[in-house]
Amino acid sequence: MGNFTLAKQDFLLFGPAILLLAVLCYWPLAWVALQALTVKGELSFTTIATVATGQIFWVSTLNTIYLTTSVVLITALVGYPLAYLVSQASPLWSYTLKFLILFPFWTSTLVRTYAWVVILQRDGLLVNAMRMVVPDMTPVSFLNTRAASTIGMVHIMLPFFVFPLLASMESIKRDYLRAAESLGAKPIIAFWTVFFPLSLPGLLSSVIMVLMLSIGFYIIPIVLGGGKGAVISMVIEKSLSLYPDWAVASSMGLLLLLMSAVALTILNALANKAQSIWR
Amino acid sequence: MAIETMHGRSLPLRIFGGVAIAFLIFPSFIVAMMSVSDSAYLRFPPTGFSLRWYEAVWNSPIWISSSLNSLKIGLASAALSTAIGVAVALGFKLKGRVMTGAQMAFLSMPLMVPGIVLGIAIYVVYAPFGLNGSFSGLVLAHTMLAMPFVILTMAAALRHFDVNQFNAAMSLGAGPFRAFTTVVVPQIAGAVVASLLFAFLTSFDEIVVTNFIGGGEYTTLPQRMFNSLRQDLDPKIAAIGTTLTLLTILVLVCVVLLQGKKGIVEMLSNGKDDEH
Repeated sequence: MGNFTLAKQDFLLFGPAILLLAVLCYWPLAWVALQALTVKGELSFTTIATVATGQIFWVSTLNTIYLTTSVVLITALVGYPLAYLVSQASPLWSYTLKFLILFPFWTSTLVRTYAWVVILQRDGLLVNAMRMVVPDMTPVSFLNTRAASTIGMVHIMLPFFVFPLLASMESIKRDYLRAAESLGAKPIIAFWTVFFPLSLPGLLSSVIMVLMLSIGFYIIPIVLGGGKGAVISMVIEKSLSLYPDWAVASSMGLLLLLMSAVALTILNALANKAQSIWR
Repeated sequence: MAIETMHGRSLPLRIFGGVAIAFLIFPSFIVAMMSVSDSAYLRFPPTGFSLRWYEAVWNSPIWISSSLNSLKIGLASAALSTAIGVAVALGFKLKGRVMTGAQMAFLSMPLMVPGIVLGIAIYVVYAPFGLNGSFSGLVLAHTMLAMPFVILTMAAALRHFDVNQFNAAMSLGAGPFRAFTTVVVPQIAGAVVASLLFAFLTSFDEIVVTNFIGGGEYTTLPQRMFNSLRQDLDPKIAAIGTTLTLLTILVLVCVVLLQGKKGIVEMLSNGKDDEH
C-alpha cells in the first residue's frame, strides 16, 4: 500500500461521515437532552417533569400513539397482501407492480398532501362524487379529522412498508409452499403455517420502518388533521412558532425520542426472536 | 409431476391489489387533472382545459426561485452524501469487515430519531454560526439525512466485490483514487446512480427538518408548498407537482436506457448491482 497508511486511509474514508454525524446529529441531540434536563447549568428534572405531567403532553401523547398505531395497522393490512401479490407474480407483472407501487414516490409528499386536500375539502371531489349518488347531500368537509390524517399518512407510508417486506418475501422459496401442498396441506394452511411465519422478520422490519418515519411527522397532521388529534411533533412545532420555549420543546422532543426508542427496542427484540426461530 | 400452486394468484387478492394500487396512484392523477383545470376548484366532471396554472408558475419569481433552490440544494447534497457514503461502505470492505449492528445503528441514527427532534436541535446548533436559512446549512443537513440510505445501498452493492482486485490495482502502481475509479466504480455504477437519485429525492422532498432551518433567500420548494397549504391552497402547486413528476419519470427513463436491460425498479428497490 506504499505510504498510503492504514490510519490515513481510515481517516479519509470514515472521517467525513463521522464528523457530519457528530456535528449534525449527536451534538444537536446532546443539546436537546441538556436543555431538557438542566436548569441554569444544574441537573434538574423539574422542566421535563412539569412537561410530562401536563395535560397537553398527555393528550398529544395519546393522539400520537393512536395515529401511529392506526397508520401502522392499516398500512400493514393493505401492504402485506399487496407485497404477497407482488412476490408471487410472474417476473413481468412483478416489475410492473413494483413500478406502480413506487410511482407515488415520484410525486412530492407535499403535492400528494395537496391532492388529499382537494379530495377531502368542503365541496371537494369526494363530496362531489357522493352527490352523484345522493344529490341533496349537505356539503361537508372531511378535512381536519383524524381519518384525514390517517389516510394521508397511509398513502405516504405504503411504499416504505411494501419494499422491505417484499425483499424478504422474495427470498422465501416457492418450493416450501409446494412441498407443504404436496404433503397434503390446503393452500390456505400452507400459507399460514409455512409462508407467513417465514415472512415475519420482514413484516417486523417494515413495521419498524413505518413507525420510525411516522412518529415525528407533523406535516400531514397539520395540513389534513388540522386542530383535531394534535400529535406531539405538532405541539412542538406550534410551541416554537408562537413563543419559542426551548426547554419545553426540548423536553417534549426528548420524551418523544424515548418513546420511539422504547417502541424500537420492543420491535427489534420481536424481530430477532422471529428470526432466531427459523434459523 | 410438478404441482403448480395458485398462491398469490387468486381473484380476490388481485382485485385487492388493484384497488390498493389505484389508491396509491389516485392522488398523482388528481394533481395532474387539477394542473390543467381552468378553475381554482376541481369539479367532477372537469369543467375545462387550460394551462393557466403552468403559465402562472412560469410568471411567479417566488415559485421559480424556490424550485431552483431545491434543485441546487438537492444536487449538492446528493453529490456530497454519495461521496461520503461510498467512502464508508468501501472502508468497511477494504478492511474486510462486515458492519456490526452497533456500527449500523451509529451510522443510521438520523433515520431513527424523529424528524422534528433533529429539526429543532439542528436549528439551535446552527444559530450561533448563522447557518439557518443558508445554502451550506441546508446542504449539510440534507447530506446527513440522506447518508444512511447511501451507506446501506452501497454496502449491499459492494457485498460481492472482491477487494483483491482493488489491492491488485494498487500493487500494480495505481494510486488509491485511480484504483477506485477504474476498478471499483465500473462495478458499482448502478448502485452509485441509485444512491445519487435517492439522495437527491430525499433532499428535494425534505420538509420536516427544513421547516426549521430553512427560509428567507433559500426557501425550498417543499417549504413554500407547506406554507401555501397552510394558507391559501395555491393551485400552482398542482402545476409544479405535475411538472416534477414528469421530469422524474423522464430522468428514470433515461437511466433505464443508459442501464440497458437492468431494471430500474430492481435497482432502486434493493440497490443491488447484481450479477457481478
